[in-house]
Amino acid sequence: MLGGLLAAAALLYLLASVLMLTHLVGATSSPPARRAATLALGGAVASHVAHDLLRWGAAGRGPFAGIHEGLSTLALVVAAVALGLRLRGGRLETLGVFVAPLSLLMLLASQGAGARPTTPLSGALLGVHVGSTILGTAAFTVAFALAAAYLVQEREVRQKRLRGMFQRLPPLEVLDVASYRSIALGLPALTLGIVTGLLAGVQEAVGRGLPLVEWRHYLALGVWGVFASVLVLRLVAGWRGHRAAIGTIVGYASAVMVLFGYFVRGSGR
Amino acid sequence: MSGLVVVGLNHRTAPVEARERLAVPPDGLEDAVRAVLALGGVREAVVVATCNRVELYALGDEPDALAGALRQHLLSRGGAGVSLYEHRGEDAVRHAFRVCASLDSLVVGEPQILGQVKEAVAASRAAGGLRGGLGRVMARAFQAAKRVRTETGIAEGQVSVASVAVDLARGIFGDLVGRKVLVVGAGKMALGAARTLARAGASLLIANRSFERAEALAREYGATAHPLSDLGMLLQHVDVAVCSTGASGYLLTRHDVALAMKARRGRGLFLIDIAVPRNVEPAAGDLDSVFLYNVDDLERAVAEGGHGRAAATTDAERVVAEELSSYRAEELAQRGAGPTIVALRRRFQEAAAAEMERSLGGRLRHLGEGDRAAIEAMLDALTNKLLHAPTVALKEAATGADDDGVLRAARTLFALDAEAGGGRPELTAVRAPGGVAAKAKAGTGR
Repeated sequence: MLGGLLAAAALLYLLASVLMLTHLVGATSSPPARRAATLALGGAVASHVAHDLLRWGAAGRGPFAGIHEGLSTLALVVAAVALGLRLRGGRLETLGVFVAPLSLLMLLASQGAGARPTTPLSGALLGVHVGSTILGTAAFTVAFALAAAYLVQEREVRQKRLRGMFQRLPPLEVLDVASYRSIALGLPALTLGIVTGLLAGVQEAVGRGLPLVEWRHYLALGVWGVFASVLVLRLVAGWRGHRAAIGTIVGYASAVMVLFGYFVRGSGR
Repeated sequence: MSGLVVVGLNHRTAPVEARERLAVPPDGLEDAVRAVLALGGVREAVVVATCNRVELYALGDEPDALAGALRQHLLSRGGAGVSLYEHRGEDAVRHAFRVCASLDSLVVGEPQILGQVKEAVAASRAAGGLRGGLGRVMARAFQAAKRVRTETGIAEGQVSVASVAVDLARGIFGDLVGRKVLVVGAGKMALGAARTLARAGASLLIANRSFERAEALAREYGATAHPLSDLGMLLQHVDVAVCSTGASGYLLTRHDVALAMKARRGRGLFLIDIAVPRNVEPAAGDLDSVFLYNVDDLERAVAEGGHGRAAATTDAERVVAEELSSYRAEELAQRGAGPTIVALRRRFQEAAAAEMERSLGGRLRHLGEGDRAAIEAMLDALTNKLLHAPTVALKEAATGADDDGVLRAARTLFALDAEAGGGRPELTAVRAPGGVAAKAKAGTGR
């Protein structure tokens, strides 16, 4: 049952991605295709939520135990944001085309070969750590999607292609400002996640006699540094548009590398 | 119209970089016509110069030599390396009809071209470049254009350059309410685009070399006026700048725009350069957050939005073909019926002049100059009225199947062939102040 729901969610994320992409690059806008994409994304989110709730009920704990479950929850949060934007309407609704494939990849990664049972979370500190890290990373994922959309839309404008994608993607400035706000929201959340994570780690390390600081802590701080730089450069040096979008994508790519590192090296905590 | 030749370049054959080298400012059209007339062998000339085309229409007796001279003229004026097109005779007439009907425009159906050709014809007339033949072609071209606009749907639902500019501005900035749009220069297209942007909620600023002109336009458009010297400062604050001055060099270099962008702290800037020659250095468009569109870019975007006008274009081509056929028939009629019409008029004028001279030398000899002129004008009007219907009938007959019969009948009825044989008194047409009267010159039998 649980596996079936997750498989349905994955298939629907895939279907939503294909439908949204087809709609975005199509020569003309097709309202039925647009509705079908929204339904597929809605179905994916519903299946994903149902899976997590059932597992929660079965395991007696939230879906946050370890990096793998956290990743699946992250996939769900960003997909829910994309669905919300889609249902609200307006030009940001096309963001789903960049988010749905990410949700699919994150969901698959969470169930991938590297996935294995992890230690259930305990303690308020770890709860705050996981919650704020997921919120921060979700905000960065949305910022990444917005930055990617910015670069695509910028390319359309620069290459003077004013039909199709240009008409369906949000205005450049809307994308730029929304990306900035996502980072501005994500950075404090990630800061809190890192600080609480370090504190929880220290507590655990002291108790178990492990080293206080590990390589992944430096990587996490590196990701934080990239996003903080994007924000600071924007405020201080007027970094906007193209540069800010590239900075955001670099920041997100580094976050993905950190996650990859967690998978490869493993994290028992 | 076998002596008509047109040589030129347009948006299809030459990019804006080439067209701007040959650009002719509106106040330079008369000089441009005089320069073509001075080429030798050119009887009449019209120079059409818009941001999309530069075309020399010339009428002469030696089409080969004429075409060569026109080509050379364009090449020597900066057209080197540019592919020029050439049309002669009826093809040239068809080209003129299609240009005026906006069928040769990048944005098929756009309304500006007709006004621009009319301005070109007015300039040619002022420069002494029109004497009849070419003027007739252009008049018929205007007529064809008018029919195309009223009888076909070519202009319906037309996506204008202004609306594309607004779409683009929305694609860059989203909501335009409160955005600032700077108009540099006073080009019609720029002001049209600015007006459309203002309707979408943007506020307007107008900068012009002549501050008085900027103030006048600002009053008309509800904008604020600024001297052109403030351009660098203004660029730091506006969101969109539409440039359309007649400056021959770049008004805004990459450096100017880069300086403004520094002060803008990366805020997006949409530059619309619809001037030819261009006002903004193209390299400025490579700067971060600067989006530069020139006239070709905008019009291409408009043309791409012109789907669904194929049927209207077909209708328009049909109207042009009809008008061309009608023009051809008229020309033929004038050529075929011409000698008969001329002889007929001469016969009537001769009779009127003879009677007038007889009366003025006899019973009416007491009349003064004023009265004589009045009688002359009356006879003139009478001659024209009497000849109008036969003239039209002869022209129509000349284009129909039975032209020979009607023409022969006219020549027989009025003994016109006898005149051609030289058995009639020699007459000289004299233009009186109020019209044309014929006065008999002393000749045989007088």
